[in-house]
Amino acid sequence: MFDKPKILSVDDSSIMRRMLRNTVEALNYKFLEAADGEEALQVLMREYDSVKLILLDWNMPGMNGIDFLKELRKNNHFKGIPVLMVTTQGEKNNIVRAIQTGATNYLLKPFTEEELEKKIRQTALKE
Amino acid sequence: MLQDKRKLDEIDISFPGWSVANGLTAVIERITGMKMVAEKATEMNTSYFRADFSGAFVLLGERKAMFSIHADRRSAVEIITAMTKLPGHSLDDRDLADGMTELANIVGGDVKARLGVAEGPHIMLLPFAVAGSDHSFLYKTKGPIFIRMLRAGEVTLIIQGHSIDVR
Repeated sequence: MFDKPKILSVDDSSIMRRMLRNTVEALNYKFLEAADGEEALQVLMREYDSVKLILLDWNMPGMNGIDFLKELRKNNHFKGIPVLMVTTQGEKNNIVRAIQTGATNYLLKPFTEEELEKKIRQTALKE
Repeated sequence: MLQDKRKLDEIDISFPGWSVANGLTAVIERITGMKMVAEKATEMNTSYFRADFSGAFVLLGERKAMFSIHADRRSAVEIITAMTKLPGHSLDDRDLADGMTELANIVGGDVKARLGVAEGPHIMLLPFAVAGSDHSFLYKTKGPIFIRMLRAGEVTLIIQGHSIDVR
């Protein structure tokens, strides 16, 4: 049976994850989710070979986006997965840091559905 | 729900209250398509207002301030539905509180960026929500440094800013 490629959303906001799910599933990906960095690492332990993209929120309690990114890039199994960093205008100055740490692309909140789709397509193709 | 209504007309406008309110209207327009109009809050135009869901954030830097965005249930449903494209009937109280937190997060990012340009870097603490029928925020300060009301049709939001002490 054909397995759809997967996109993992790491975001502490459940309503944001629901919104992202709608867009991701419309693009014909399977949607995986985690509420923080620790949970995301556990998901990846099971699913890393089929995850094509990670949508990563910056501001999260516990392991935040940038700390998760560091962990991700240290792991031989996960380090090649493209990461789309999703953040607010307030963290704009940190985007360079995120890219240096290993983010593949970024998306500033607030974003439209069309912008999200475009960034997902661009970033997933960078794999 | 507004704190210290007697002083509403005396509230200082030296803090960039209009700038914050305009930032909020710009963010809301971008994510929901709603064109909200900001106006000064007065005792008269806020007397009917009840806050059922609020999102708040704290910025620390040259300026130390807490900002809170308040909505009644109907307005919260309208805003969060428009923001997420999720059907209104599928949103429970937890979703509405979560959505108001996310709204506070986005507006906070915008305000942080503006303050960064005007007054130097600030850090933002993780935003939070308060939910409960007709609730109010009470701060151990002299009262809000600004209050603005934003309206679009039946949707009303109130945004407040408070200076906070860090000890």
